[in-house]
Amino acid sequence: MNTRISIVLLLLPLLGFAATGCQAQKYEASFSDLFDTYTTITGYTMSEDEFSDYAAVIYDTMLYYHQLFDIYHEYEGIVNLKTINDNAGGSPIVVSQDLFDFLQWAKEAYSITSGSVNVALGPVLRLWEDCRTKAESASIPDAASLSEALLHTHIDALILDPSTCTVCLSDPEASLDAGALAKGYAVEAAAKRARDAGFTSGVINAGGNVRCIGTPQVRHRNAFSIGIQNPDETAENPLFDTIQVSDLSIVTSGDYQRYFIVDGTRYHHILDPTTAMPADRFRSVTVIHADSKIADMLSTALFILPYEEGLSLANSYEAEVLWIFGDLTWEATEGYKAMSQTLTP
Amino acid sequence: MNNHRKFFKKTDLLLIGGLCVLALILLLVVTLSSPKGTTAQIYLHDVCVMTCDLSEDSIFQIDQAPEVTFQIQDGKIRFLSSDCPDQVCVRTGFISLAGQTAVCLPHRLVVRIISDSPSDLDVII
Repeated sequence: MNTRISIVLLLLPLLGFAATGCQAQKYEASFSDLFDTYTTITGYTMSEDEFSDYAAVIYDTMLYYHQLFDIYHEYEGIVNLKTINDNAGGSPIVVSQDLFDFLQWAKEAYSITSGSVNVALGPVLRLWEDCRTKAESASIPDAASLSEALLHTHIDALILDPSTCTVCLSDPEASLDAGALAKGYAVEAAAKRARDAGFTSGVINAGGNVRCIGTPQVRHRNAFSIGIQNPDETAENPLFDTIQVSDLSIVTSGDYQRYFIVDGTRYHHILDPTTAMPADRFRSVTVIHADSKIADMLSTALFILPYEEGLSLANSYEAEVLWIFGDLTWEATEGYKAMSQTLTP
Repeated sequence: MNNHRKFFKKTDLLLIGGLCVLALILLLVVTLSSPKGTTAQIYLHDVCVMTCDLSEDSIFQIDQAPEVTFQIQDGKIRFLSSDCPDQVCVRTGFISLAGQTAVCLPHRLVVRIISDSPSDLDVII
């Protein structure tokens, strides 16, 4: 009898080791060649091979959309946004169903956000892009050029015909830029495909577009911990807040890091389409929603729109939001506060 | 019979005691061998080219990208300077929390703070 107990006592640690061996392990992959951003994939899987399969599905999906949304490069056998832009003012061209679906979503996003997310903002974005990339002789686009460019950003110039799957830009000066919608759209598609392939626990982070899949398969944890960066780079604590989420997408739009300075003034990259100038109501806006493409659209829109208008838009999508103002005060939806670890009203 | 039972009790006690000592030794080994302080990895074109301990202050370049300078100070790391046009990497400033990254896309250079602790943040945005 006692001998048996001793054997069980001896076996218990072995059982413990066996149990640890069966637990999912954490793996990571990253790449910096898509969407002009750095993307990391974290996953909890039973083996490295399994993780690599999911990471490949995610990378391939994002590569596919990267090429579809590219406005600078052509790819063999692919009709992409560059093809459409180069053809502006010409006759309609046939596009793939995937690109057509995206452009339909882009037009929808325009009406949802009262024009603050405009896929046809290309002419204005190019003027700012040209200034931003000239590091030595920093200047901002002159007002006359911006006003002229704004004349060619009408969303109605983008004509979609679902019956023939054709697209046409009726204004020869018009051009498309998927910027404000591209990453969220691609990440959502990638997450869906990875999930269909069996990926049940992980996070994709494409430069601030975060998509959580399931919950972390680690003992004592039932949600992913996401740190929200402090927009004030000089602050002692680099984190403004930490939130606990599972199966949701979190997207932050901020005025820090991506900016350039002219005569002591910062000009960042999120433009208000009505003024063609950088939006300046907030330091950052974080949006939480189940769907990454909606979170991405809303984070840009809410960064541009006044707080009250943004709040009612967020409420209509049941999105949770954290707004950080210029003086680092903040507002948040009730649902956001419930996920927050540090912010108390 | 009585003696017999006592004998088993002694070995059981020895066994349990021995296991406890073993567990303590293992715990000490694991605790002492785990790295003190923070570690950063530098990636070039998505390949890790350097792992650095952040406990010693230094200013350095890597051979593959001599136009970029890194600085380690007080357990933190940053891009001190870079010849890239957007300067996003330099503006990111010092990073020190596991999950934090500083990225220079023009050079395809990434600095990441790494950690194996399950209590760390999954992502920082």
